[in-house]
Amino acid sequence: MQNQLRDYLLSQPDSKITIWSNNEGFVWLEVDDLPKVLEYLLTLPERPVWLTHVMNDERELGHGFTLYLLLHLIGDFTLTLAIKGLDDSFPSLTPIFPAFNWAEREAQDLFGLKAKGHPDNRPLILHPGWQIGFHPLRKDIPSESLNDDKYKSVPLPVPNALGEGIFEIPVGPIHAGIIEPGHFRFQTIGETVLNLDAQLFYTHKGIEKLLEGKDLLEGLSIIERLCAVCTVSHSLAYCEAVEKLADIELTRETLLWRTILAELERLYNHIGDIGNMCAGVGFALGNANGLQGKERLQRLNHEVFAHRFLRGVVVPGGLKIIPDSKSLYALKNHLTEIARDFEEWIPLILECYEFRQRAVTTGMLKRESAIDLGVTGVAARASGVNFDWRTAHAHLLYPELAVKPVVEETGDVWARISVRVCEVRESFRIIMTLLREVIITGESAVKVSPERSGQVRNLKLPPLQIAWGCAESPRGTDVIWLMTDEQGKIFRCRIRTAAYANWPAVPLAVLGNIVPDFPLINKSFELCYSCCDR
Amino acid sequence: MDFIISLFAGATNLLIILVLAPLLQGLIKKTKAYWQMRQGPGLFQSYRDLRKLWTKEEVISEHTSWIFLRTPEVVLASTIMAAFVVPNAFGWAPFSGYGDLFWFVASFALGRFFIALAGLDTAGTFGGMGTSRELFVSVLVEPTFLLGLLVLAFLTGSTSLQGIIWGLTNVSIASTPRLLAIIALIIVTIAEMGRIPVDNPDTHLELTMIHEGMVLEYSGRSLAFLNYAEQIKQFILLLLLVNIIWPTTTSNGFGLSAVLIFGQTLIKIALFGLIFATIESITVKVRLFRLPNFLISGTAAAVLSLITFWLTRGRI
Repeated sequence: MQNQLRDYLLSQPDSKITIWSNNEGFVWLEVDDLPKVLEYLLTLPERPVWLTHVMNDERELGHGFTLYLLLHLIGDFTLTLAIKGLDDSFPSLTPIFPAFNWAEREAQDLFGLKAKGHPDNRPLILHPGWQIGFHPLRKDIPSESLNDDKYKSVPLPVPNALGEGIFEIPVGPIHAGIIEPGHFRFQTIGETVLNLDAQLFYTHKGIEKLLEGKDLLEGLSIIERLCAVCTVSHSLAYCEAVEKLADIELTRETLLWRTILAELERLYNHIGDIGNMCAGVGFALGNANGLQGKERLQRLNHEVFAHRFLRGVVVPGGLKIIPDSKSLYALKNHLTEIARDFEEWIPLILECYEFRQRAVTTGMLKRESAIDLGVTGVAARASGVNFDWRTAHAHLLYPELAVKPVVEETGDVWARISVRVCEVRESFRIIMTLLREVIITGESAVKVSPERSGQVRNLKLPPLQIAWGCAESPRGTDVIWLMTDEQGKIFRCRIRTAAYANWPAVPLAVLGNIVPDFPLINKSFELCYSCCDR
Repeated sequence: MDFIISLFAGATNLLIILVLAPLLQGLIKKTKAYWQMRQGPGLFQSYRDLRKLWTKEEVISEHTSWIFLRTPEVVLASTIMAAFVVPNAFGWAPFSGYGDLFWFVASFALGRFFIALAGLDTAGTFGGMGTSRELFVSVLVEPTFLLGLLVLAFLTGSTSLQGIIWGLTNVSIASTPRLLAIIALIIVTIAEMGRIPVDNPDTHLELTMIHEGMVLEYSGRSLAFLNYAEQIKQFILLLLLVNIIWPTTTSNGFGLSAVLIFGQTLIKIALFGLIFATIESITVKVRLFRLPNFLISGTAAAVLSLITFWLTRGRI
């Protein structure tokens, strides 16, 4: 299939293939050919999965604006389609593949390029009120000049719904609970939601701009702080990109502990999320158990890895902390106990008839919509999309662990909680298998907390190189795309988190449901605002 | 002389309700905390909360009218009005007369009418949503409430709550009409107290609120009024339920036996509070449009109770 694809790409006029290996392809295309090529790719028997969409200001390198599309094809093949020499506009691919909707609107806001043919031209990241012509990711705007004196508050553009009995409910951006800001505008008839418009990006911090010109370790500490709950996944994705650039081989021990860290993160997130879904229906008992499980796991994280959110453990080339034999046994014993408790309380939720009443058929996301919008993670798997980065791409120790993606077909709240429950069990199994290996080989007992970050500190990265890294976070696939400048520092870092990919699906899943079910639906997706807004 | 004694007794009765209502709330919260494996706030936290709200500054939207300002007082007054006709541990109510079960239900309806208006008055979206949902629920609850009490009135031959409680001492707890009426009144009590599965008093999710949605705009002293009224309502509903389900053998005695009877009733109310808090902890709030199914089962019980009464007595 790859040969066939290669022949097709070569048949395009002026296409140039710069990389073509078993797992990776990189093709330069002409601007006008891009929509056609994408359409061809989408008609392949196995539809490619959208990984990221990167707009880049390479004018100082003489390339004009450059666009990179990263797609993952069946057979673990990652294809980059690139076009350069963009001047003030680029062809919108949203009508062909709606997953690019937000990324293209973002490029319009931050680079000032027009997405030609985009069906929704409202600004996305820069709320109305910013000065016309303010496009912060252009290289000619120095980051020191970025402050909010260019902003004057004006009302948000929301779609209108007119007619008898139509009621408009503005919610947020400040909410009653301890959650992040986002404005939701409901248009309802009675209690039924006709339309929902979600305005996010209140916590846009300009992290992609901030990363420019930073060296790779500074970059890591920024990436780790994108948000708290997916710290490990973000840093794994980032380190994968850095390690590709620096051509670092990882030891088996590193791979093993990184796998454990990724699964520990999934565990505390999933268990907390299950509890939160119970809060959405006022189920105090389920909520309390979920919160307690999460708290115990986070304390365990703190005990073993010195951070409740596991921050600062993953570093390029290795790990900062590898547990000694004492913490190893603590980890094993506590996890066994937490897993047993989980099996004790989870039936309270799953066998609760009233909870099923609330969850089944609520917030349905159709399979077709999930594919079109490029939804990832739990939300995609609950809608019948069989995609899990842990199985799609051979990395860490996942290939030998035979991870089974958990797929549910119905796409409702119930499916999303079922997927989480099964993944929690799978994560417990993975961690236990790996811990057993560590205990048998006795490796961990010998080496105590080696400091390995020095490996990269002295390392010079090749200039003007591109690399990407992905990790399956608890919310879905996180993608970090990295390009170095002449000094080997960060020229551009594009962050596509799972929350960014999944947010557009939430308003769609809410349609036709009743207003009091929205908190439950929202919690079943459990998306982060911070790493979506960046 | 008799008049003075009864006046004194009535005042004491009312005073006990007013003093103990927040304690019941504290007990329910403590029970819920127990189920959630938390320590929870102390039993007396509700008193402290009321005191805190009492001294706090109030924020009033400039778009509101006198309805918003007067509603807290009306709601508190109407709830106390209802408390006048509820019999105490000894089966005596401060006021009692023909048809005071209507007085009881109507007092709640008056409070609800004003609180619903106040929810609309602020023109906030959550107030409007809360009001629309509250009225949707109360349309289903109020008829059941009246019907349930009316069956008991038929059963005992009295339309005053005091008469009903006295009359019930001669009716077996196992008699079908009484049992069915009790089922109806339990469902009504859950709905009137605004507890799960009908409403969730502890939620912060503004989109799911019913009663809390209507009072969302209140703060400070007004909120203290409303919360206190809610606690009193909860207390007298449980007091009435205790008297109907499990009345204490009434006596006119003074001294130790009176204290015992009084203590027994308080323990029973606490027990009922524990039961309702437990139900609230282990079940889920039902989907809004499935509420009628739950509430109609109460209405059905009340209707069946009337029918069985008619069948067993052969007349109404």
